[in-house]
Amino acid sequence: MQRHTISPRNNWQSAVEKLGFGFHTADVPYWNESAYYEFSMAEITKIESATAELWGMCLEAVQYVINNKLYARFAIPEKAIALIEKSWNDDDPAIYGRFDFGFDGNNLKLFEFNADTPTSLFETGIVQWFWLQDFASHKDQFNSVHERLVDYWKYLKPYLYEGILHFTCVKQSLEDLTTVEYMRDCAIQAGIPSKLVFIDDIGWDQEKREFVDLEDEEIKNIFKLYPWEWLVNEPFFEQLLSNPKAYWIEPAWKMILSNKAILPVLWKLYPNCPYILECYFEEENSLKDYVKKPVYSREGANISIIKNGQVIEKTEGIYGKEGFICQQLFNIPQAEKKIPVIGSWVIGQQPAGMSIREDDSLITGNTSCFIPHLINN
Amino acid sequence: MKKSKVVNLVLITAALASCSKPKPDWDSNEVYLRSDTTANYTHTQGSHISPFLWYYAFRPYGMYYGGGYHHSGYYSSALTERSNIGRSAMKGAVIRGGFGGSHSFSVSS
Repeated sequence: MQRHTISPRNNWQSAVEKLGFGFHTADVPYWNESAYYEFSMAEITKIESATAELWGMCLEAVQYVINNKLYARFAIPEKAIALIEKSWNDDDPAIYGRFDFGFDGNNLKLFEFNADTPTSLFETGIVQWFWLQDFASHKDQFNSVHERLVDYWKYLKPYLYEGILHFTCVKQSLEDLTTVEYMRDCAIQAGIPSKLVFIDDIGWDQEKREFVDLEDEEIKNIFKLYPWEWLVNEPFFEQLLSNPKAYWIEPAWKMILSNKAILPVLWKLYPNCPYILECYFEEENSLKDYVKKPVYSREGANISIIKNGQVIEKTEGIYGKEGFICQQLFNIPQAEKKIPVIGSWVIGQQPAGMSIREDDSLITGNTSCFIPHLINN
Repeated sequence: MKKSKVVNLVLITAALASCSKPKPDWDSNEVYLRSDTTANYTHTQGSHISPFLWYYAFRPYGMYYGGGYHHSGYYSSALTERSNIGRSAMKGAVIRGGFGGSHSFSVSS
């Protein structure tokens, strides 16, 4: 894994905007093609194998949590348990997730699993792929995101209720809208009729006792880019419980997998797995060098890095009241003072591609940049 | 990994390009709107929603009957309930806003 500094395409802003990528720059470019990462095929094979293996372990871990009723450790409210177990037992449709890894050239270690609302899907599947066509079309990339999404929607189509598949996200974020519209694009290509409805426009028909869109059409299948841990605390969750037939994708059991409390469970179940870092719930922690993470947090908020008992880096935020986990510190070698984190995608149960976010900080936050990659065959 | 594949997009380029329309060319936030002809106009601030998202500011509503869809009007969460609902019994049967209240700027993760 090597970082190379290059000159961006002269017209890179216009090139990515033509693809529909409107949030490439915030205060600084989020999409950064002034560098790329080069991987060997052996490295890619390692990432792909680890992703497949970890996905299987994660499913076992969900079953373990359910069997042992560990919901309190995950700060999952009592009212959500029946829904979680129903969605798991019924094998409700699920489509994607993203493992975040640290890699030092030899060791590949899981930092967390974004199993419910992973973003950067469009950048991974489309933007970096078209960058490669301009930059080095003779090279390859670990990237079958687009094909796998279309194929898996085709596979899921017979399992959905007949009719519309709705898609929803918050209104105020072009990033979220892009992710959802990209997902919808793939569903359309799979032959599934679809509609977009923003999350706060979803209605509840009090007479028919069903969720409806802005045209009062029933919502029977809905892909949501909106976390379960938010849904369960909102007023319509009671209505959602009273209408348990509708498919919410990702399903409610992803509440277990997207929670950082899954990390100490994975360590407990698979202590010899080379990809899993030693990890404990805070009250059981005996590590000296570790990263302390809230069981619920986003964009690197409320994370502390502790070395020899001293906090060496810390972020602020609004999370933490539900408890923390402590994960062994893993050092990622810096390249030109940048720290890369690999995002490895699972789509339809299969490894599907890779994204790289890099930051100046040990903690990847919402100012980290997306860097494209290629494979040197 | 997918060198020989062709990647096509059918929706997103057109949909999101339309979000990139320049800011509406009015220089005042003194806007009076209603989303339903049976409702009263109310004063609203024109900048509740990012210009990128004006495309989605008004959503059509209607209902299916007689084998087809019949458009009835528009709904906008930028407007007060008074200007959204008017005398529409159909809108009145549905409550909205029960999701989306969490610190929901972006779910980015």
